Amino acid sequence: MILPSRSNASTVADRLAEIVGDRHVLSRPSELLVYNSDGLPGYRRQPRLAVFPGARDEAIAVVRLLADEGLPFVPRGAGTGLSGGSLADDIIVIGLHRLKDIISLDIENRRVTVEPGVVNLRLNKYVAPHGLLYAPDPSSEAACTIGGNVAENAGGPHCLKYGVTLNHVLAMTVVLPSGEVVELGSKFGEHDGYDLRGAFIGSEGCFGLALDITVKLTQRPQTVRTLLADFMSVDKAARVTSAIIASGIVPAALEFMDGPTIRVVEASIYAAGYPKDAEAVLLIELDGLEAGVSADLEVVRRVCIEGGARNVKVARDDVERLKLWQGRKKAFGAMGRLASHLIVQDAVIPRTRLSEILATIGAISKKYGVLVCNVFHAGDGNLHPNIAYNADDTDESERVHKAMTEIMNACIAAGGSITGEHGVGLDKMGYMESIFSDNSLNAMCELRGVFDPEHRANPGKVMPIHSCKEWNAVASAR
Amino acid sequence: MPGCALPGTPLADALPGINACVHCGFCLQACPTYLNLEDENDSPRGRIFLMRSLLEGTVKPDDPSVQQHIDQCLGCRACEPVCPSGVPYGQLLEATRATLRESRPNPFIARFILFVFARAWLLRPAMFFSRLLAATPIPTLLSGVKGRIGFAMAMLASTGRSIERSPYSAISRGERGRVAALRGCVMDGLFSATNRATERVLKVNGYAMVDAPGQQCCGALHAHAGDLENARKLARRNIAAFEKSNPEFVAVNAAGCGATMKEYGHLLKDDPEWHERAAAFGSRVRDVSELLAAAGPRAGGALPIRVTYDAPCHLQHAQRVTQAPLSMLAAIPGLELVPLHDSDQCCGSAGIYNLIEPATSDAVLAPKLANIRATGAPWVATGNPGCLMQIGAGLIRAEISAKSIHPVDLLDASYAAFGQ
Amino acid sequence: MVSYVPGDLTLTVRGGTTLAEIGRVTGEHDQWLPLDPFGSDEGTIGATIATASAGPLATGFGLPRDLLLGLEFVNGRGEIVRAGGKVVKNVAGFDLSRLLTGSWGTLGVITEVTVRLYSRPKVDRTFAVPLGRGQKSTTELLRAVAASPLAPFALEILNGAAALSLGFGDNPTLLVRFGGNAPVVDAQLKAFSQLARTEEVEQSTWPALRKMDGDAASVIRISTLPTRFLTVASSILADTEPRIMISINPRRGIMRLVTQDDGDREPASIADPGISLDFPSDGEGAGTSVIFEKLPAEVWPVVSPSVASDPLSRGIKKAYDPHNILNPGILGH
Repeated sequence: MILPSRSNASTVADRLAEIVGDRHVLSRPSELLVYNSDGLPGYRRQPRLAVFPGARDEAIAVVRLLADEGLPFVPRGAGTGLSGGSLADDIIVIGLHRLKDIISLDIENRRVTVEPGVVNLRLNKYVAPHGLLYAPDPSSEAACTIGGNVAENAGGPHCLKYGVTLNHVLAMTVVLPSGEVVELGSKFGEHDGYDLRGAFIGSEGCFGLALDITVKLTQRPQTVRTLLADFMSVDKAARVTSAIIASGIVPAALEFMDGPTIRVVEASIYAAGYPKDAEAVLLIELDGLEAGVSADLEVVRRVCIEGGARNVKVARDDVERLKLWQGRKKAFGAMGRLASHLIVQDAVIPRTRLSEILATIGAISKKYGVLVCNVFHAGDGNLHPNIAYNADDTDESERVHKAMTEIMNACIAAGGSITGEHGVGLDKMGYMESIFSDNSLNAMCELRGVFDPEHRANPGKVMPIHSCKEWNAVASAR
Repeated sequence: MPGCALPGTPLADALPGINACVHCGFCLQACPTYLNLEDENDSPRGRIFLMRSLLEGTVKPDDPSVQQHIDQCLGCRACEPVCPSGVPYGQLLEATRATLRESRPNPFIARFILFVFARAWLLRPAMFFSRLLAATPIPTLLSGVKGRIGFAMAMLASTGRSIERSPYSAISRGERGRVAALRGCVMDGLFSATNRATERVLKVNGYAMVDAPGQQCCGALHAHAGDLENARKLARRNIAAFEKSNPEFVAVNAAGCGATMKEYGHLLKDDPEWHERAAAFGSRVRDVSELLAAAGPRAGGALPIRVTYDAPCHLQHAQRVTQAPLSMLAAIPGLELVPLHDSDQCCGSAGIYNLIEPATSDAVLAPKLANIRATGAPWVATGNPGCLMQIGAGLIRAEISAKSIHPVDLLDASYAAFGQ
Repeated sequence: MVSYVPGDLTLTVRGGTTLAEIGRVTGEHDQWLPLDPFGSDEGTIGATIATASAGPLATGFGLPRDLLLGLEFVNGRGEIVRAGGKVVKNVAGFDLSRLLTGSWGTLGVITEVTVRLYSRPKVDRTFAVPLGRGQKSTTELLRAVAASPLAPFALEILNGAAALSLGFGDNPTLLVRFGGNAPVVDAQLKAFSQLARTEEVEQSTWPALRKMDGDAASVIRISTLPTRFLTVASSILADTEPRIMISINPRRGIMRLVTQDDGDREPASIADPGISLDFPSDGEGAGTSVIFEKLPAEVWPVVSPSVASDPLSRGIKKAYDPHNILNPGILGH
């Protein structure tokens, strides 16, 4: 949905430049090319302008100008998203990566207030000397921003035990698409009234821009132990995963990588020492008090061995532990070794259904002759079947997309969700109607309409436009 | 890709490397120009996207914004060791610059420098003049002048500030093999004391030094600027020169030169006559710190000074040598190594970048200087002439009392102290 | 019960299911829903979510919003709306689950709830520490606990009146609950014993604490930064009158004041916490919020309208309940 501009683009670019400086407004098509895709370059949408505010007041002024002009916009962090969520044709991109100050740290109360462009890894380096950490750890933590985490309600391997972004954000200052600035949540404690902070998290840039974000910090665990269990069959690894969850132990993380994934990681500079002949490995981390971790470690080891693990190895020290993790966290990037394009799925299934769904995925990949690499948060049942392919090969592209649709439908049929952490964006909008009724979609549209009555913030995302009853009525009356 | 817009260009050859990029963005935070300029066009992922767009024909090689963002790359290759997909960024950049050169020349100052460096008969007098100038008080006097002239003078002034040491004689049993050292252009011209120190410390550590007459500039500056033709010409001459003296190792004390020489095989990959020779040559090239670390290195006499270490990009990222220089410093009794925050970040030198893109270079240098100041250490060790002069000049102009120094000079001073 | 697959550690129930029923069914599989809102287990899951009610276990397991995976509700137009899902991780669509949590029935009638479950701890023990009698100062003790790696399921400080009602004498008392496998509980107990003299008490202490609200006239929750309680805890515990029972959860940063009805207070004064909250003023972000959990009906209109008076909240209310038929009068309407 693109609204007509009330003045022409060059004037808007000039006025934006007055706010942020010439260098931070891009208007030449060749310079905007880079902003036509995110971490999933299968989607390209060419923006009209890009503007990068360097201070909170600049960001507010930019949004107010666009509100006055009635122009649609889309926020962007580091562009590591995996759902095409920050792309739209002929849109104004507001890049928030320059807002990267850590505003205040309260060590005793374990909370920190940051600007949206602060990168996860930088935040963690900043708080680490105080024995603290910010728990959500998306695999793109080396590049992605806290603002992006909030927009997508980002997860990560350690969210199995510690929860996702929404469990860690206490408060935000938000500029609404109208230009009004509001405080959501509370920096100091609890409040009554509607949980607008909860509603904003995961709203994929459709509700406005977060200008500062206060998050909870977590005490570094006393002990961390990491196990690597390798299997000669995917099915055995899947069953062991379900068995560990059913045992009641809550690992800090429980990650699954299949044979093809193991082999691309081992070919990369992040080679972690996963056995290259294995068909699956589980990376299991336990943390907490030394005494409890040791006891749980023995239980997990036993479950793995009884479930058919070939070897169970415990990382000897932090160096080995981090190496095991680097392999996992960089697995997605390493898939560039297979082909130029990558399609990434993010479905979630009940954790007792893992073995069955992985078998289904195997059968689907065989049927369409595509190579699926499974690397995912097994403990949460959050699957990431990835297919590397050549987008220029139309036949292959078609087979890949058919296979992905079939995989997604199998996950939905198992009672799952279409996205666990990447967001709906452009990529999964087509599935929204398979999991939500018209009334449910309309209720979501109504919530969006309260934050953004003109639907100018990230238009055409998350909700299929026809599911918004009232908006359609307004739009058709125009 | 269907229908390449630039067939037959070095960039078209580089397509497989471009295709390896899956756009994950893990390179962004490693890139000094992205962190300073805050535009994805000035990030590795963004530049790769521009390269792909050039091949797709969605932008033209004469597009000024494309040229600007490709020019603004430092070529530090900090993106390579963080890339899960193994994109050979340094090679892509050289190929792109070579392709863009066809539609417009390098800036005058770059062309001038490259012209001189490719010709020994011009380079020698130029270096001689620089050396003479460096020996006068002129560079120091002019080092505070605003702009590039002042910076260039400060660079020269910084070369005369090494550590004092008394002469000692180094004797080698040669049990670790025959080594020929690259003299280099800037090293030979402005850091000849460091070159002599390099020979001495290698001898102390059991290497037999042999000469390699006929060697020339390594061609690194040319390759980085996209002048692949001259880079190849220089590479061939060097390979031939070193083959003649047939050393087991070629020792290089300039990280930028070492990185290029190790990759001669890639540079000459399309030359059937030279490819194999180039690859064989490349496999013998070692940074001086690698040779020393392999030998221990031997401990010297006490040198009770505080030193911080800054890793040259072409050593840590391009050559992936990170521990060896530290082992050199660890072999010096009494030396206190003060950790440098963000020591893995580029200093902004990048060959001749600091003369061509001064604003960006200064922006990259500023946090480096602040971090050095915070250590309070009087010496900054770094093993590359560009970095030595960039940091050295920055320190002079910021009136920070610390001096830049090659780790070889510190080890040499330690051995000198032992000899007494 | 709509669906319960123990191996998934998730449970879907209709909104009217009591917490007691959930406890019984999940207990058969050695699992539990670690939600213990003040009141009792006779309350329903729908009400617990609608009021975002949490109890002492919030220290170890978080608030209702943290355990909720999805729900179904009927909005003010009679439409059935579903949000979230039945799996443990889900970002599909806008988060109506969080929106409904704590909305006090003003946006919809919650008809179904899906929550995540935990395995019941093998060992679950509670200890009492009498404060002030030859012990470290309360502040010192709390700081030591905060700095330690101890991870209690629950940690509550009671004033004399509250302690007395639980049968601990009239001395301010700290209650701490450790759970998990045997080694983890033993290790924590050992570490904790070095900080304070402890005495094991019955697990039934917790239901008793939750029932303290029973016939109270008012329940007021005060929330602020956890550290601000450290400095005032001693004085609050020392000088309150016997009519007000106080519990402080220092990790969550809340204090609850349970006031017995004495029949002759002015409505306005009932809404007044009635004690001096001498918090240190320490700059930005250190506000205090006062949340009324229970007040006599005639007092509600006296207290100032709450945050639902902001335009966003009003807009949401209007969209979901255009005829204003859902719990009118609550949250500032």
